[in-house]
Amino acid sequence: MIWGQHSFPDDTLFRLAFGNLRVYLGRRRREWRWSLEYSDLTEAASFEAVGAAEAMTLSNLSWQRMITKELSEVVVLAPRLPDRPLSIFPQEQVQIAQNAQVQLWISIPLWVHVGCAKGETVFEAGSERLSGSWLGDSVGGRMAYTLKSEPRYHGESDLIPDHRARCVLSILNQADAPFVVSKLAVPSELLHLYQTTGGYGGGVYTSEVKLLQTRDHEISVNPLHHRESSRQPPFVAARVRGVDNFWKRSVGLLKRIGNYS
Amino acid sequence: MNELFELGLQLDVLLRILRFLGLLVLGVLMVKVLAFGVGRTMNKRFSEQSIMITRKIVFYSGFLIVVMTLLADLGLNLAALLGAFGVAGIAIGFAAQTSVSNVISGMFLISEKPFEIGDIVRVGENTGVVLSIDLLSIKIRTFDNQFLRIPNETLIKSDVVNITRYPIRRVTFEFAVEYSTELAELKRVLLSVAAEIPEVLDNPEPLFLIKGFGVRGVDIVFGVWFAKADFLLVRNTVAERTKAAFEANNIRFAIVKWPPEQ
Repeated sequence: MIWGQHSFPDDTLFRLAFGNLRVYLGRRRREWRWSLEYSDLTEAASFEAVGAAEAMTLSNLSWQRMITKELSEVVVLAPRLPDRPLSIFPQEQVQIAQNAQVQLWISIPLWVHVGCAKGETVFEAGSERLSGSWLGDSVGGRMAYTLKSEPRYHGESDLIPDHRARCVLSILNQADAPFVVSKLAVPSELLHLYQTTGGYGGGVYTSEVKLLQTRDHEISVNPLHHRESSRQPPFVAARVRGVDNFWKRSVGLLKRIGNYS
Repeated sequence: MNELFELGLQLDVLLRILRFLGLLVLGVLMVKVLAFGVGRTMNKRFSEQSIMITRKIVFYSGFLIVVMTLLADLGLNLAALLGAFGVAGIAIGFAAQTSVSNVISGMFLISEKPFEIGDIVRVGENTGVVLSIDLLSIKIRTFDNQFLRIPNETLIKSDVVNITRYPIRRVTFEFAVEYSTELAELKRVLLSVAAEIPEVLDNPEPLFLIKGFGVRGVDIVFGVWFAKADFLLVRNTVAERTKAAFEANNIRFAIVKWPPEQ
């Protein structure tokens, strides 16, 4: 896997492939430069130095530059979950009977964090280019991404690409009427990432998301530690941490998702 | 005339004038510092225009107090002066009806808050960024970098569109396609154009509307939603890709030919 520290000498160009993302990355002293593009094809994750012949062909790329605070002769690559919530639109509406509980499995595209040795972020980019979406009404709400991932009832053993993380949604309908799920919102910035210990078909997975429709038809969304991970610290902690922030976000999401699902 | 000139040269009068001017400068400076301090104190809790108005109120009230105090110090009878102001006030009131109307309209605008400093608004044919909201007028910088002053009274009477009030917007394209166009195919092409642009929001969904059957062809309305900061990018990209997609799928815009074909 590509995660961790890599030697990153001056004036050597590297190529990072991750899902649909292709990045060319170089450094001269504290100045980093990179070029991002998305391909239609998915590629296995790799981070390799670019040969001189290939480097000669890259003159047409558009580069971004950043001068970092510290000189870093290594590059740190780490997985992240998307920086916004995800909207999932199943192709077919699902009805969940009263007092029924169901587990749905989805896979979430990972973001790659590129940084210096001392934690300074150079940039982050998604392994897939997701379309924007909006959670809420046209007057208030927040930006989200649309996730094209059909929720599955038996996803634990599915093979998923290495640029995606497995996520379990537990939906419990306590209301006295069927719960029609036409859209799902996943607060990905509140979820931790865990590394598999052999289960779930390999790869990384996120905290579980518990979605509850109460008797009063209110909907609450609550990220939980994963059952398998109760004794395991997160591989990558959630972007948004802290009890206050968590509750504020949860209540906010609850309100937004209340008229959303 | 000579007597007046001699009187003006008297040292006592000169000193009084210098003292008046010195205290006036000092007073104005103090009032400015006070207004600035009040603005800084309000900084994080109030909107920019509330701060600006409060600073102006503090400054002008303070300035009036300083001037009145200094005039009293010079030995002027303020009661007589205020009496004269009262009489003059009636005359000025008639003459300054428009200004008073603007001030009252300004008060309504400030309390109603239809826009804030930094919003993009359209008033009549003018569109621009709001630079300041004052008691008499608002100041706008138009997109071709002109400075525009709109009296508050005009604003109260006009339709004002606040373009950036809400976080997301829809841009709408209206055009006509030839009658031979397969409308289901047209819808598919337009929706796929929207789906391929990441800045176009999937939710709310793009709008596809068959507006009617016109003289040129079938009138279509196509709209897409986006975050307000992406306006130019989305408008240009959608237009560019729609044209390209029409060419690729052999869909033709309906245009009025002149002279008409026989």
